[in-house]
Amino acid sequence: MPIFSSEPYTWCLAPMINLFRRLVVGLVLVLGAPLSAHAQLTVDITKGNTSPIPIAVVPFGGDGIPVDVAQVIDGDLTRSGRLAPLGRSSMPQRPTLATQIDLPQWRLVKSDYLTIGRVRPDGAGYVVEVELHSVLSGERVLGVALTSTAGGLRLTAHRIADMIYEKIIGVPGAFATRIAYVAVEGSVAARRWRLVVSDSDGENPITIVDSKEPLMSPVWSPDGTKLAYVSFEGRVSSVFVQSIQTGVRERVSGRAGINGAPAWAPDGHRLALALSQPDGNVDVFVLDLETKALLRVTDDPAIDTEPCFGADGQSLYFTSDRAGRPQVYQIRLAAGERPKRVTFEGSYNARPRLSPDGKTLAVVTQDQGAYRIARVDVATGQSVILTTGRLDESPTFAPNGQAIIYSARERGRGVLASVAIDSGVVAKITAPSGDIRDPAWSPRL
Amino acid sequence: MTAAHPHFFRDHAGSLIGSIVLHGLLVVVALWIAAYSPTTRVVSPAVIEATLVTPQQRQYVTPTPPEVAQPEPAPTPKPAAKPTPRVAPPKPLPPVPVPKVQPGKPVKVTPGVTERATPKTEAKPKTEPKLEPKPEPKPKERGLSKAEDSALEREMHENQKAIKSEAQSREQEAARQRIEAQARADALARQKADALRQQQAAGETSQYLAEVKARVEHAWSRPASAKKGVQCTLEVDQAPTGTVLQARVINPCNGDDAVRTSIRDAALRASPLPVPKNADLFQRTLHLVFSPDD
Repeated sequence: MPIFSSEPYTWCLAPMINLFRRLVVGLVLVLGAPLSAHAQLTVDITKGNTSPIPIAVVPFGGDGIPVDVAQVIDGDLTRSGRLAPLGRSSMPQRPTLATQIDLPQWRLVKSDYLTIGRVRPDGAGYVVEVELHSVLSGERVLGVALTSTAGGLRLTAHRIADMIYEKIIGVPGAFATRIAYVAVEGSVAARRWRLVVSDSDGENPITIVDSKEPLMSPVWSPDGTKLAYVSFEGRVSSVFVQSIQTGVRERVSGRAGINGAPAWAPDGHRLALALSQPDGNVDVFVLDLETKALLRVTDDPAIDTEPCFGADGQSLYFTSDRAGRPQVYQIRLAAGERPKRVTFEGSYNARPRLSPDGKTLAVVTQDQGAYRIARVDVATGQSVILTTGRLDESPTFAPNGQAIIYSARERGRGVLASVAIDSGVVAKITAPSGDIRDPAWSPRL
Repeated sequence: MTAAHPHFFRDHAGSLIGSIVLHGLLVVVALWIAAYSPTTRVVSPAVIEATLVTPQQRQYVTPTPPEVAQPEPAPTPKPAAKPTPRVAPPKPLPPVPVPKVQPGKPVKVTPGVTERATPKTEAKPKTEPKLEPKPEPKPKERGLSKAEDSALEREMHENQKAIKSEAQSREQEAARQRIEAQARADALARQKADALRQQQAAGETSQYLAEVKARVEHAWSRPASAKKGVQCTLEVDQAPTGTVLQARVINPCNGDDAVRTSIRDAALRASPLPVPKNADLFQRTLHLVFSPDD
């Protein structure tokens, strides 16, 4: 019996220990159940909103400053369509130093960001100090000091707006840039066309060409030093390239018939053009500005026009009615290439312009009987209509790709407008008088 | 939330295994104890017992993993001599089952699953003692009164004993089956209740998380640099009222300054966050994973 008892005892003990262990484990797990149910709660955030972010740009401190720097910044941020500056009359306080900020008051007026600053004389110029505070967290997210000449204060303000925009939106702003446009003034009998270059906010306009015949289609060279444009001076169309600084210009295409729709290659050495044949048919060509060699790109009985270069400079997008209605096509710059259609949504898509990242085309599309600006995803062909006007034309991307500037009609007048890609918010730039049209946004300067 | 299910299952699996093993062992012990007295010669009842045990244990085993099958080999080989040596140990064992029942008591603390399982394990020992005393005193009485009787009478008594033990084993069997049925019914009820509770908790949690998600997504001013492929996790401390106390970006985060600021601001702007209807689901710290899907 003792012999037996000892052996079965161990036989029983092993499962006993095992059982006990399991019980303990089970107990721990069961008691731990409330804890495991409280395992880290994780929420996946996959969407956000792109409605304008409330911000306040408090008037900067400093006496006798020739430019209201805060107002310039405020205007830039407003036009971006991504930020919504608070009106000055709604500001609960006007701090110019961080120590003066009363955050709860700004939280009450629902400003997410607060910009304060100071301008003080420094030798012949000024030093502009600016701080950006997150009202929500109380953190200072930006603090810079920039020196400026008196005449450069507006540009300094645009640079500050660029920094604020980049800090909040994550891509550099496009405020310290310029736009070119055509202004048309006067009665039918005494009409004048001017080619104007201004700051991105329409300020500091400088006329670089003044003509009694139409001017059209200005485009910036990739380095931002020259403009190519179409002029009908002498009652024939020609394409000119003109230096903005020196005013020196060159007629690069003055063939019989149509010389139009210039577009720069990314390398700055070639220009795509729409030229007509003796029979009047229009096709797309590429002109080498140095050798003057002309390359025919399309040869089709349909109208092929409004070319723009692909990001690699080795292909062109252009408008063609070869399928009956105007649509955008792409063709590689090589012998024997056939164009492939790019736009499929809607019965009318024209005047393509490529985004800086090469992924999106801005086009004019027909929508419910109106002409509107749409963006087309080059890879998928998907189209999104961005504007709501009746006659929106001539879209061009901002150099940061975040907005498209275009011409629109407002109360019978031509105006410039920009639409933010993400928010769809539209901002207008109007001239004191007359029509303005055909905008072109400069590259970063 | 999805993670909570496997946890629950694992928890229950652990405790189930525990209680089942306990049950099984108790039954085996009971059988051993019961079988101990009649073991002398009655081989056939022993065999009956063996066949009884197996189905019972199998029924127990069915809801559990194969691990429980280990005790099975013990009863199955019973055919002849083995049952006796194994039944012998129960004597030293009896003290052991008692401590076993004690660990069962703490199991009561646990949710429904084991709560009901424990009373059963306690109930069995109760039925066992009832069965045990009967066989033992009877043989003793008879042994005393008929000590001088003839061999014939003794044989008769032996037969009677055999019949009685058979009856007893039948009784045991019936009792056991009743217990088994009850246990099965209880287990089923428990499973149902548990599943319901889990479903409810899951529903409440997912609803709560969906509310948080909606609120934060509404509050997130998504910067242009928050493109597909960007992923940053924000750790948010909240008060029981949902008021966001603090929000920290956890590294690694492949977003730029604008993304980091925007997601932290999103949590602060979303404050107070929705609170769960079931207060048990509240957690002071939440993880918000920002990963734009387009």
